[in-house]
Amino acid sequence: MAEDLVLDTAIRDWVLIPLSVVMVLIGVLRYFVSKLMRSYQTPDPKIVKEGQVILRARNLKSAANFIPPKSFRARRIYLCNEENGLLHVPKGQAQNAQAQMFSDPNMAMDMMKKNLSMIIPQTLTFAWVNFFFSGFVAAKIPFPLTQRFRSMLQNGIDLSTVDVSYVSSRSWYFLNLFGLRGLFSLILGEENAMDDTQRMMQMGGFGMDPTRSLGAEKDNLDIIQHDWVLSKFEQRAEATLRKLVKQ
Amino acid sequence: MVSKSEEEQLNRLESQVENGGGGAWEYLCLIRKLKIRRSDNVLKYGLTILNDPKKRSSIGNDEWTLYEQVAIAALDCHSYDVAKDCIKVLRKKFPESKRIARLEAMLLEAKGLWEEADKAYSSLLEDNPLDQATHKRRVAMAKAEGDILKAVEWLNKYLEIFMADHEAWRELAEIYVSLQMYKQAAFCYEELILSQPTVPLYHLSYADVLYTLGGLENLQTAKKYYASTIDLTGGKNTRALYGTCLCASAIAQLTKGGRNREDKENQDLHSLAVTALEKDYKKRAPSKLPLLTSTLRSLKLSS
Amino acid sequence: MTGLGFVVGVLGVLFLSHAAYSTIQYKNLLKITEDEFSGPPMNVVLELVLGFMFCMHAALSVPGKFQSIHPDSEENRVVSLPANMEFMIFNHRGRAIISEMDMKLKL
Repeated sequence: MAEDLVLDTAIRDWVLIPLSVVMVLIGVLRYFVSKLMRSYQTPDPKIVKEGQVILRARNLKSAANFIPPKSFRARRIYLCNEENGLLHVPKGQAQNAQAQMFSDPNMAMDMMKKNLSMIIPQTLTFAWVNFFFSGFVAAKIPFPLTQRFRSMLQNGIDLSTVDVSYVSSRSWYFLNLFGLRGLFSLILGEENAMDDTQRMMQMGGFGMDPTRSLGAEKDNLDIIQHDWVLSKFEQRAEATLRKLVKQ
Repeated sequence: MVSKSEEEQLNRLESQVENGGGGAWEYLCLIRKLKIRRSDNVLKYGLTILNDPKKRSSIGNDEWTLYEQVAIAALDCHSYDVAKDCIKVLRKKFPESKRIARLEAMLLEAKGLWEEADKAYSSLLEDNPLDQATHKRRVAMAKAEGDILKAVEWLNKYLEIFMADHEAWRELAEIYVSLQMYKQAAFCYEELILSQPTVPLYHLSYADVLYTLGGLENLQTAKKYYASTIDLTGGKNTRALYGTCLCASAIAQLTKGGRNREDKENQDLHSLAVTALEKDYKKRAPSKLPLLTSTLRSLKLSS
Repeated sequence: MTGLGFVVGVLGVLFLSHAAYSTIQYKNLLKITEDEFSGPPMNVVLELVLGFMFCMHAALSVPGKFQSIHPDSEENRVVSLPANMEFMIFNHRGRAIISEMDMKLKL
């Protein structure tokens, strides 16, 4: 293993550099395509209102002790009562919301567009890399690494005797895929900072029920013990004034 | 929120700019950041920047923000020509912008062409019913027309959807105070305290409203909120000090001798407030000191 | 003040790296004498603590001044609310004053 593999300079010129350039170009292209396809839709007033209700409920929760007990109780009843409280979600409606979201053609369309702009170029490039460059050792990292990195850096090469610091072309593709975010935010501006990895995570989080957060806020509000701090403030004010007078 | 040090910085910059020391752009930025209404200054110094191509190019893309700022300031100073020119420049740069359409409607509004302005705002809202700024303009326009009740109605409708918007709550509170609807105003101030519990001025206004409402319970609560204002400002708010004294005297009148335990505990507060007031007057306005002592004597607070 | 703090910080880092170096040396020595490593020698620990203190001091003094968190301090004390600009109305008494300034935007 001690002897160095000599990499052909043609590999550098025809694999390593083209692969990186293509990755960057595809990223830029995808950015513009998704920008073209992005449809600006006005948010639903109901959703906006729900967001605002949640904000207000959070404010109430965190600053409850600053208002008199009577006012706090009135607000809690307003937000949480079982008949028409803003945070109260009727039981049947909770499931409906999600179904409604899927049945809404606009939303489904939007998701499709997003996915298309993400998945299609990715599969295409992966196929392209696989077809042309499979089995290349494309680069060498200038520092030694442990065996654990083998699966990360030598994807596509089934040789256990090659030193781990050599990178296969397919792994180089993956490194580019996940590592170009910084470059993109430089080229395309900050708003593109959301890259594929994040988008993938978002996909996992999709289907979160907006009504659930309403319910959570309601539970939070229900268990608050109201303890008016203003009576303490009188003593504190006295202390402040004493200090002021003494000066 | 404008803090003490920011206010000092603003005053320093203002005098520097007035004396021709430069820093106009910084001054305008600070005004924008602190959201202060100094329309005459913005107009004057903003125009000096905009009319000088070298200065204008030195601020880069913020140029357009400045155009907008100057346009609004010009509307406030009723220099319609300047406003119109600014809007024209902006329109050329952003032909499709809704924000500029709003500015154009504001120009109509400033000229007093209420119906045209209303039409413009309505069409803007038709395009985007959740446009907060336009909703607010409509409220402001109703107020400017003198139709306060309509403004209240719009504002209530607006708050039904955007109920976490504290600026709107503040506007509503101020309108209610002007209409002498103190209970409603108190509710709005509670909402403001909830959203920003450490701003002493909301505590102060809330206490004012409660004091005006009267009644023993409200007075006691008002006194508590004056106390919290004192604590949050370090006793440097004169109005809160006065408020404490007034509340104490009103409570004493209402309870007449039959003092309950809680009052006895907090008796020190107003005597301390009196001392603090006297000290402050001695330091800053010695000539007014006799006035203060006679006022306090009439409240039967100082011996 | 920051100059002094910076020097102290550099000194602290030097101390830390020297401590690391001497620990490695000590470990090599132990390998030769075939003793068990139970902990670095006393003087290295002392150096470590000293270096830590220096770094701490530098980290606290170099980046800048601390701001007060008290609501009643000069930096935080709220003296006035911002003007509610979005609700600004133009139908005010300023209308009666004819602007004496003759201003024009040069296009």
